[in-house]
Amino acid sequence: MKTFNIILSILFILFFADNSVAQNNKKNAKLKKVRLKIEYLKQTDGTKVLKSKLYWKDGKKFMPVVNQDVTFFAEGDTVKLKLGTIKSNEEGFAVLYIEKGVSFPVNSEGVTTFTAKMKKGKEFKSAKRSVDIKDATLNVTLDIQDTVKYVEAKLTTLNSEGESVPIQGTEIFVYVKRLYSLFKVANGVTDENGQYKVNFPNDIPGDSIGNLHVIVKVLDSDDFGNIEYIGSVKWGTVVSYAEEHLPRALWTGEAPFWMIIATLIILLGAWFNFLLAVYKVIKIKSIS
Amino acid sequence: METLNKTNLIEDFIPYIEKPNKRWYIMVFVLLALIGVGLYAFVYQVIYGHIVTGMRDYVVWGVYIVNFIFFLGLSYAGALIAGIFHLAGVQWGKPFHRILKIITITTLIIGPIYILLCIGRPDRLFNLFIYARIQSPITWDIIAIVTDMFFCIAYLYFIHIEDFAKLRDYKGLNVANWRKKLYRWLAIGYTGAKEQKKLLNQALNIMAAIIIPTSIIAYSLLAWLFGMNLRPGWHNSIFAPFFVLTAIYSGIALLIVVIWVYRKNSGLEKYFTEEHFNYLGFALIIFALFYGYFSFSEYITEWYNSQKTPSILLNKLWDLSEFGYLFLFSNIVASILPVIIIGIPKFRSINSITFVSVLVLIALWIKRYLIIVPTLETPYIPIQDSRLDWVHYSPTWVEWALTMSGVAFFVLIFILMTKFVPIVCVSEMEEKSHGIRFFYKTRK
Repeated sequence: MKTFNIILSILFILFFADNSVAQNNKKNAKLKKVRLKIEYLKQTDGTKVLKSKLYWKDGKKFMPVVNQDVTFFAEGDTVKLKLGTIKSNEEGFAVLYIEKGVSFPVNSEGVTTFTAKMKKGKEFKSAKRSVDIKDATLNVTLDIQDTVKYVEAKLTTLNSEGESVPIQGTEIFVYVKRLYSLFKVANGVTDENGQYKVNFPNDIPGDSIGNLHVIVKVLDSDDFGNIEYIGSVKWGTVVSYAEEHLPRALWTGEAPFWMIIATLIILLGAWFNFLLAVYKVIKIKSIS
Repeated sequence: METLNKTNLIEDFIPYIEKPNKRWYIMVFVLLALIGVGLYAFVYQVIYGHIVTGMRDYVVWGVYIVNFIFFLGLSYAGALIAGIFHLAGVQWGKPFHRILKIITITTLIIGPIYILLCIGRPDRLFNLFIYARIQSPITWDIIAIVTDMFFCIAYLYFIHIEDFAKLRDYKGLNVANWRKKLYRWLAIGYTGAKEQKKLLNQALNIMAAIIIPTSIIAYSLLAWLFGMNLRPGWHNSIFAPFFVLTAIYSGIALLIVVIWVYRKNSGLEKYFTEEHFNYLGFALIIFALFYGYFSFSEYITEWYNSQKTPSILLNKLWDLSEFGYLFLFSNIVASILPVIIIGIPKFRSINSITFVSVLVLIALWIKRYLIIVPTLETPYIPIQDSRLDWVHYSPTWVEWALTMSGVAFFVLIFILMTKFVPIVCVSEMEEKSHGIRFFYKTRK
């Protein structure tokens, strides 16, 4: 009996212990793991955009993390600056726009660490992701020289003394804005002067008066993030939107002649007889 | 058929035209109340938008369009049958002429109103006229409806002229002075003189002759709104004749119901005899068989083709969890029931013929519903990422209220007309028999 009781107690403890672990696991299992991405973009007017994407994996599908607070920070060596808190939207994006002129803390190499952080909640675990960015400036010139159109981009940054120095070896992309996406015109690498110059083609269609939006980008640079310049020039070919005259048909604005004539004949025939009947009835009154 | 040899049949109808009784007022009040409910539903819809109906992104046509087709079918059928009876000199059909024309006009007014209810922006209705394209079946339909309306109103008036003259001349008619003046004005000086009669007969012959092709073409145009549409179940060359046939079928059924009501409530047994019910009942059998043949032909063609989306549609029609019960009811009642109930002498009676006619009317309404709603729920491009309640159509109280008020309006017009003119064309009943009318001449 004593032995039996001991065995029963051991089994009981094991069962309970197993269950309590399972309970803890269940609690932890309830919180979903969040994957967080952060992207930096410097726009034409100097506005900086920090874009974070939050998602979690449901089986094989990636689902957005919606309506969660994401806090952005900018960090240097010693200073940590809170930039703002944004709620993630229905697609899982939280985007913070920082006006031109805001100075960020930097480390000794002039690099700022931008961090996006999401706190642990009832449904999701906490998440954090950082990106190190050194501020760079992209100056773009769109000009014509001897009837040849060219795009010249110059990429510079500030050194530790605050002097502007060119950035060599960074890939530059030149695009033209189309209806649904960007059309790549050229790409190349900056030279020792931080410059990249390319001729612009003459045969790209513009709008009805030849306008084009030229976009010059630094894409996903490890050091400088994304930098973008958008400029508008009248370098496109004029596209005529005048409608060509379509022949008379069932599907065009003008009906085929046979259709009009047939309809008129039928209607005239019917209405003639109707008016004849009405005339006869009116005549009844005149006879009376 | 009992031959009515009386020369002054108008006296049978004077009591109905004179003072209305209490029951009449109650009926008018009830019908006005039902119409009032419909008006409330309409205002509710205007304020809150079409979200109060069951129509959504996929099923954009619902009960309103079903009612439009149903009522217009009755209208064109009434005109068609009246025209054929007149031109063919169908003697036993004489008591029905006025009823058929009243059915024609009333349903022709009610039907297009449902289009206005279906339109999300009725203030843009005039664009249909301003920017009309002659290539569009909708333009054809508008032209047909407007033309038919003019023709039918004129025809309705022409068949009343002689009776207006009788009412004008009836001594001792106990009605308000304004009504006596109205009869005098509407009689346009008709005295029954030989030359006047000749002119009137010619006018009636012309109208009867043009109204037959107008009705057939008009309802065919309505059918082509569907037939020329590239949707499963609609893109079908059989639609135009099928619609015309169904229209006449429903018109006959409605005529039976109407004359039964008048026979029961107005004591007009000598005008609407058992023989009339038998003749119309046999007509119902013939049309039931034709209807069954057309339906079978339509479905077997779709089934045999084995095209993907039309097959899905057919499966939905047979599926009891979807439209199966409605499908079975409409086809069994419309194709088979009249043949059994009316065809077997043991079951045939005035009441059973009328009962079958009521069921046939319901079945043919359901048939129109099955033409529209299942097809819209089964587009060629599969429905994706849509709310479940937007995929399946379910009519709301707003739509049912407006349907009911349309029926109430129809009954109200009949009640009012009974008070205004004899419901049977008395002058025509007193006329001698004539042979087939051939255009403007009478040939014996």
